[in-house]
Amino acid sequence: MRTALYVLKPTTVSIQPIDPLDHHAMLFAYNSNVPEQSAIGIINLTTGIYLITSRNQLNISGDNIHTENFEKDLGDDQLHQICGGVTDSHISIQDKEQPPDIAIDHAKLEIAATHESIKQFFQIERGIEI
Amino acid sequence: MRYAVLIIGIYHYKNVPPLRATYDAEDIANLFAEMSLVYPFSSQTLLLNTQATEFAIINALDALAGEIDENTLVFIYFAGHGVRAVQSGQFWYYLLPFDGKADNLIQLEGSAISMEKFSNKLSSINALQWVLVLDCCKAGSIAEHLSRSLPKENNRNWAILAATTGDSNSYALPHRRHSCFTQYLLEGLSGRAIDQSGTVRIMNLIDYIQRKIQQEPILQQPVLKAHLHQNFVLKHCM
Repeated sequence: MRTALYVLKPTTVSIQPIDPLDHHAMLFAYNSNVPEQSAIGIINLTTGIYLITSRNQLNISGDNIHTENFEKDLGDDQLHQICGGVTDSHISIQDKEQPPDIAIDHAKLEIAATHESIKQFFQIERGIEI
Repeated sequence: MRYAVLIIGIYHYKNVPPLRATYDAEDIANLFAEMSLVYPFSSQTLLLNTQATEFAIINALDALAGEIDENTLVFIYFAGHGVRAVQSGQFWYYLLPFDGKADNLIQLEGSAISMEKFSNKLSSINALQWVLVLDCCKAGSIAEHLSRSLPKENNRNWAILAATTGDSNSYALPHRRHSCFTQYLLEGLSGRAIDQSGTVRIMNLIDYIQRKIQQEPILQQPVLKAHLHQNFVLKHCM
């Protein structure tokens, strides 16, 4: 399962596993100079784009967390969360088969990032289905 | 025993989106290149990206079948897109070469490596022991389809190491040098999967990979499809 995090302003999040096997969940920054780290616990995030990989959905919470379910528009298994205030950061949880939706503004979070390069960052599987 | 090795790594495609670029195929090739300093090799072929067209892959498989004898251990590695096509409730599986097209089933039949085609090529490998490694999505189903049609002769051993079970995905995580599966394949072949006699055997290797990949932050379960009369040796480490 992939969780895409678009952090618009520095924020702190708490990430806890629901599945006990998810203590291996990892956080990857779009910026390749930032080393990968465990995704579980209290984590300070600077502005940027991140990917969490896990076996199942994680509990992700922060200040003033607000959760919206976009069932109608995005499908049953896709959630959209806004963390740390509506405009501070933006977390979207998506099914592993579907690339997360990338808003135009989100590409500005990383220097030289493009819509395509962000999609490639989230692309971790090796297969095609038709 | 001598080795014949064919390594295929496709991260950039002519007609479909790329995979996350890694050094999987290159480092598998490096590992065998090091081994070739110690052990006899009949051949080692590396097909990367633009080199790995359907024509080149089929040619390489034909060449492999033509040059080996029963004393050769054949090792074939594929990293790239595995494709599943669904039509009328039926599934078709393909390995996608660099120039493969995957918009529809007709394109796949004309440009990708079907299970029938691949199984015919594998069946012509006249070695007592061969290994196929598939680091792609749907690898478990691809291995299952291949294993159904491959010959099961009494004196021959073959093994297909698939990066995933069934139709699930094989993963390569951001900024890492290798995919999750190939990371542990390399470790195992490098000696982490040795048994008490100092050799890496096929069953020990898959056991090592299966155990280690559980530590990864993804759901991926490699599987072995095989016709084995013995837990044959892939490499002597001592």
